[in-house]
Amino acid sequence: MKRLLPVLLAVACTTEPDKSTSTPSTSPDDTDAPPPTDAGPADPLPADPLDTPSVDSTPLGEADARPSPEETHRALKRMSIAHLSAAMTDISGGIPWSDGEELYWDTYAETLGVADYRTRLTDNRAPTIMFQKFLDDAATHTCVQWVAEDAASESSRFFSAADPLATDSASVTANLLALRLLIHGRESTSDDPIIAGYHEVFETVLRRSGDPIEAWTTVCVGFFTHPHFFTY
Amino acid sequence: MPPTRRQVLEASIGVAGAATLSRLIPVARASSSEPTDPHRRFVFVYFLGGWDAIHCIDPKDPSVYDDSEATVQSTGVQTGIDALGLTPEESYRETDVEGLFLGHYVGDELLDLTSRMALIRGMTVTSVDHIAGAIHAMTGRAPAALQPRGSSLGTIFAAALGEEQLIPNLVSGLESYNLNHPNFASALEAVSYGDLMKILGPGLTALEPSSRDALETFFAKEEERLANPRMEGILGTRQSSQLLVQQQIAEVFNPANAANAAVVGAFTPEGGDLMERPFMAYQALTQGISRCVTLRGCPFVDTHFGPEWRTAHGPSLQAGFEGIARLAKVLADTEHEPTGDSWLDHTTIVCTSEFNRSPALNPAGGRDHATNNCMLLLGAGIRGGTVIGESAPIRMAAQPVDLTTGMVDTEAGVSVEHDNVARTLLESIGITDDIVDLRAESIPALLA
Repeated sequence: MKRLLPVLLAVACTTEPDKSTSTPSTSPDDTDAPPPTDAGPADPLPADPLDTPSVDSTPLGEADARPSPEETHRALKRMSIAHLSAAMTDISGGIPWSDGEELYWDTYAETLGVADYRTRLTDNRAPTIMFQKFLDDAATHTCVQWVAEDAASESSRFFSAADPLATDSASVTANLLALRLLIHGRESTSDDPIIAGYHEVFETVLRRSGDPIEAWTTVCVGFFTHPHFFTY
Repeated sequence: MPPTRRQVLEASIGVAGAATLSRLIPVARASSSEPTDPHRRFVFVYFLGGWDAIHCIDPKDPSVYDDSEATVQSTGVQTGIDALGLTPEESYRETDVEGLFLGHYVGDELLDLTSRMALIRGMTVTSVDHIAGAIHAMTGRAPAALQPRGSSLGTIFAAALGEEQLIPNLVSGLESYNLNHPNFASALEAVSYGDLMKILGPGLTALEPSSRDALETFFAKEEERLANPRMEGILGTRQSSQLLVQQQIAEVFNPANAANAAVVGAFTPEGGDLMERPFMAYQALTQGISRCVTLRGCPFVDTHFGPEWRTAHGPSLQAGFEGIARLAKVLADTEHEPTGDSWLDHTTIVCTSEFNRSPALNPAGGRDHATNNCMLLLGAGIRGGTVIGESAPIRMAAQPVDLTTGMVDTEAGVSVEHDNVARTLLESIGITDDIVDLRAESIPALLA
């Protein structure tokens, strides 16, 4: 959480100009102090900085009390392939990335960097080109089926907050907020930029195709392929 | 020829995206000297599982190593040619280069390339574990246990040579590492040729083009909005994966594409199947798609037992070497238009394994892991017709080498490892600084 605090120049210790460059003194008891040299007169004794403090209350603006999380760049990891496959299947109500016989996540496991404990001991958890390509393929496959099935279903998970054919802004936003929570696990508000972005995707596709199901399918792919879904 | 990665990215992501891209470049170059050879390409081939050097690139004279009990006891070397059904002449083949003999399982075509070839024999290894040895061979640095301490050579060279290509670092059948190099140098890894086609091609289910456009516009804005390096990297990689599909790069690798018919023919032996990985490497290099291609030379061949060693190991190695020889020959026959030379004049091919198999057969009739190794290098920057080092007469042990002459020098020589070769390859493109902290000397005798 970003907290902004007013920053005041609370205390500025100022001294007389002729004292400002003084060096710390050594007391007569400082037995380790070097002996005086005959290079010249000794520096004048400095004033105690607490003797003459001055306060300047001029506001200098605002600053972060601590860095915001967005600026710390924690090394994000992506889900493992097993985690991802299970998550997509679960969210979509049981639609696997499959042709009915083989599960493609398993077919491409080696290329996706899944450890086989023979030549690869650890999963590759980087969001590589291969991962993103196959994720897009999986998302498209899942979303086409999920949106079409749920549009015809009375107990729809995808259209939990709006009618499938409703295209008014309020309905679309309500469903986007529900999908944001369902797929990304994050609560948003209607003025959140990411919701505005998905809204724009919906509107653009709807305008070009005239088909709200196509528009929702595209939005669905956008949710599953967003890093907020597959990284943590 | 497809546009370069930079051209495509700049055209599709606009000035802001290109600025992001350009920020990545200094990461690779700030701490390194620039390569002086702008045209160089690399092919790294790994014959994983441990190769039987006696029957490929470090053969032993059967008139000396006659497999008699006395000879095996005194030398620790057993060629096993009887078990393989080979004659002495087949197992120890003379070439055009004096003193350069090759084993049976390198195939025939490689014999025509000895004038472009250098062999390193009697190398030492730091591990006889498959994974540790493979990581050492692929990175040029001994790993920390099983964790790589450096990036793969393909990554290092792709980073050093720049990001002009759409897939600067293409890997097939192997793992690849990028520890501290820019994103663009990370490998596009595909286990198989089929998987590569799936990565580059459209999915089974595709969005309408206009819907895809809307989605990509959304992600471009997200990249700008979520402005931190990590998100930029993730979303940038996403964009690259879509660009590869949009550019229809899969067609370059599609054997059924009529435009590829002549090349497919060149990589299809009479009565045989297409040599998929060599074909893929050739297309990636000559079509301007990749700087570095890394291939698995053959299926994993760990032949501790007699039946596997006798029947599977040799033919598997031979298929790999025949593919490499064909790749080299077709590259040699292809004009490199920018210079008028051949593509082989601008491509360095490096073949190795994680270690040799043991010089004597074990009680199970197979071979175990040995503490030595060897390499074959071919093409650009390599002093052809050269043999550097020599495995010792006893147990084929590693021996120190005078790096300048390439001759064995047991007094003041250096034990050659993958580290030395990696350093030498960097020097071959003009990078003399130790930019990846190899802490190893180069091998002047290897350089043309």
